[in-house]
Amino acid sequence: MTLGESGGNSPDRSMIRPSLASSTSSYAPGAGGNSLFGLFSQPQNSSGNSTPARGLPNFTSISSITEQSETDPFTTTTAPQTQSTPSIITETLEGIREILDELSQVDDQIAEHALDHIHSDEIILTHTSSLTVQKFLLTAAKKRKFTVVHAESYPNDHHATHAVVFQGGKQHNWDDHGEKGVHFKPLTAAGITVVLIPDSMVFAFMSRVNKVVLSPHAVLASGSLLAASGAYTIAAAAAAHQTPVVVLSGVYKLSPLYGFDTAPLIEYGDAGKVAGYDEGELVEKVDVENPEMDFVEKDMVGLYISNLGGCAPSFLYRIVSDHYRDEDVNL
Amino acid sequence: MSGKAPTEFAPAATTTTTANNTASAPNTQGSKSKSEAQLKKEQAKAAKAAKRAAKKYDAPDTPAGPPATPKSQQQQGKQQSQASAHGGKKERRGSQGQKAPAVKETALPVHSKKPAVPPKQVGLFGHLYGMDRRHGIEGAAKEVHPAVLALGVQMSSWVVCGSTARCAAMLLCFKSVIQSYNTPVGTSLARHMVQHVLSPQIDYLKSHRPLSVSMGNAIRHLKALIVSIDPSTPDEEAKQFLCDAIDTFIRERITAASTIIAGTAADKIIDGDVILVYANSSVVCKALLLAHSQGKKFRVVVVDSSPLFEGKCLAKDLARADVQTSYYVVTGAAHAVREATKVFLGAAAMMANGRLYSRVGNAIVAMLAKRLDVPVLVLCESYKFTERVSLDSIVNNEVGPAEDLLASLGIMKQPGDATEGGAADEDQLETREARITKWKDTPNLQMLNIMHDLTPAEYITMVVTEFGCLPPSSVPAVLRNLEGTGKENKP
Repeated sequence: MTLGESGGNSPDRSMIRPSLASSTSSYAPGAGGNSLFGLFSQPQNSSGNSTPARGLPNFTSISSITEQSETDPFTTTTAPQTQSTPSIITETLEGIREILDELSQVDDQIAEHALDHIHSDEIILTHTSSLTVQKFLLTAAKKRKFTVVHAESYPNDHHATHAVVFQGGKQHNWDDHGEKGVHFKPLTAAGITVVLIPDSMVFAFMSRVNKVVLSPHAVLASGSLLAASGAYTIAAAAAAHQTPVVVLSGVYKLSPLYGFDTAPLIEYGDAGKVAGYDEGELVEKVDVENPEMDFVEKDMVGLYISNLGGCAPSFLYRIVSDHYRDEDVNL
Repeated sequence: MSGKAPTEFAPAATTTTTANNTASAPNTQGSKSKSEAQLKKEQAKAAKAAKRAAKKYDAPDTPAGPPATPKSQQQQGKQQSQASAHGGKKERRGSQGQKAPAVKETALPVHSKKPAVPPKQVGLFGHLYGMDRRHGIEGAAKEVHPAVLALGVQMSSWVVCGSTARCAAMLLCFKSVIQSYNTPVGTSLARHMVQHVLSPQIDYLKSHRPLSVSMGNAIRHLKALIVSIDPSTPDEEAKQFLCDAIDTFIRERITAASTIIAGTAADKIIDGDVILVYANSSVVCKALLLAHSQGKKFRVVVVDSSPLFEGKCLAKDLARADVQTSYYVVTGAAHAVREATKVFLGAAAMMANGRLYSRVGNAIVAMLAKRLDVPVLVLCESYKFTERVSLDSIVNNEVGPAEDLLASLGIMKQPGDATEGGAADEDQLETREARITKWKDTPNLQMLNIMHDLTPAEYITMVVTEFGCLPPSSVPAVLRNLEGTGKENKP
């Protein structure tokens, strides 16, 4: 999940953070024999909807990886012990590589749908430095001209947001151990007008916005989602103005949780980002709070776009059940 | 921008390259706003040659932006007569300066591409940009009183920021203006003062920040009083009358009103309440401190936003008085509202259609409160009520300097360096400057920093005024009442 979190967060930061809801089943005991995104044990039985079956490139890359893994020193040293039975290590490695593969491709797969959802001269509002959203908008920018209104998501993500808006971002390629990456240009270079606004302006601007594009941290089976703080405000303002909210989320962000009690899902971050420690009076006497997540209810979301295509929030439970086995969910 | 202009003008007075210098200054203005340049051209075409010269002579006096309002044109017209007394040398300089901007503008690559809209102005809000803000006192008209000069700078540097503070400070400055006024021979105070003394002050303040509704109402009140003075009244008596009237306005409409409102609002607070407030408001602060001094046990949640962070002042004020306070920025507003049992909002203005015009972000808080059925109380003195109606935050608003959005970046750019003191500050300034130039160099990248937003009336549960508590739909009723009493009070 730390990998999945990468949309804008530096990896070292996400390492020290608690695991998210969507990671629950990944750490399920005995998962070796069960599915992790339907990859591990019975890939041949996985349903047509599951992630690996969809993209043919997946399979080609898997085979190339497996070939590589034969020459991998780690695999070769352990190979003699597990030659007769199907090697659990090889299979695990394969699974991990496949997840990394999916993580590298998911943004492009989501971006393929961009032209189905963005029309000319549209005003689109987004926030945070999510690369998924940037890719999505960049893809649409190749064909269409529109305006992007970007809320800066102060104080947790505004540096990264400014960086993405000013310089563009870096698409990590997890196949290459997350070190290399493809730098992509900012939207402005593609001829898109980008308006950077403070978060307080979201409501004021919403009456002119045609579509809101959000990128969640995790999507729950109920159709609700967890996203960077500020997302609830944006979604509520969009609801108040009848503006559709489009959520871009790879399948790997899906969680089997339903999230009836939302309070434990919210992470709280460094209060120093809200009010610096140099402000003595605030530090001493005022409770400075910095929630990093917002829980956005399903009825505020218009559409989910995953690497499998678009679907309504009410249908997400089916996709979740395709990807998580009951044994993993009900421990 | 305006800060650079005077340095260009400094040599203009002495060296022979005056024409070039005078030319470059209007041009740098033009690079910000083409519409200004066009307006200027039109003005120039209409004017006679002598007037033109006078106007150009006038231009160095007001480098921060050519006046766009009819009033300031009047002011210019007045100065024209003064300037025309000067020699032909200046006329020549003026006529040269007249041609230069047009030539230079076509030479600028950015402008040749997009002649209609300056590239850093957000299209939807294009009508709000008007003129460049003035940040200093250089180039102010000579009629502007020193107290007003200082106030203008305080306003544009956000030292005097709130609607109430700006209105009260302006009135106090006007008192000094009135006290130092002497009616010229051959005219009367009632006829002379508004146009020739008050207007330059108001125009100067406008060039720093657009007038707030509260200031507009106070000015209208004051002008009505001045005009109503009998021309035969001796100067001293008239001045005393006006100063007393200003004091009365501040005492009755601002101070007493806020005390009454604070009392009413404090009555609404009960033990165990969690009051959510947004940014800073003097009346809200007063109400909370009053309730605390009454011994009520409640908690306050302050929600704040970049780039002004006004809420920090409120949080500090409350903390000093030992009110239990939490502090959020607006991204966490959803969590803050969940804690709240009541929301208190301050106001910049109440529109006649019941909508609240206030610091940008208030609408967010009100909307979130409405979703959770938390009552929203607006604390607003009646002098902030306006006849104007408005539907969205875009038609009527105030655009702040976009560079302010980059200011928040400097704060935590290098947290390690912060301890090193002055050197770190320079680094941060550099990064900020670098960002600003980068922003200006990046095509298609715009930043928008509007100051206010409009909260729909349906999000507002109650408006607390000095006349009592009303639903937002009763704002026009209050206005009608005020009109009636205003007429009675007129001498």
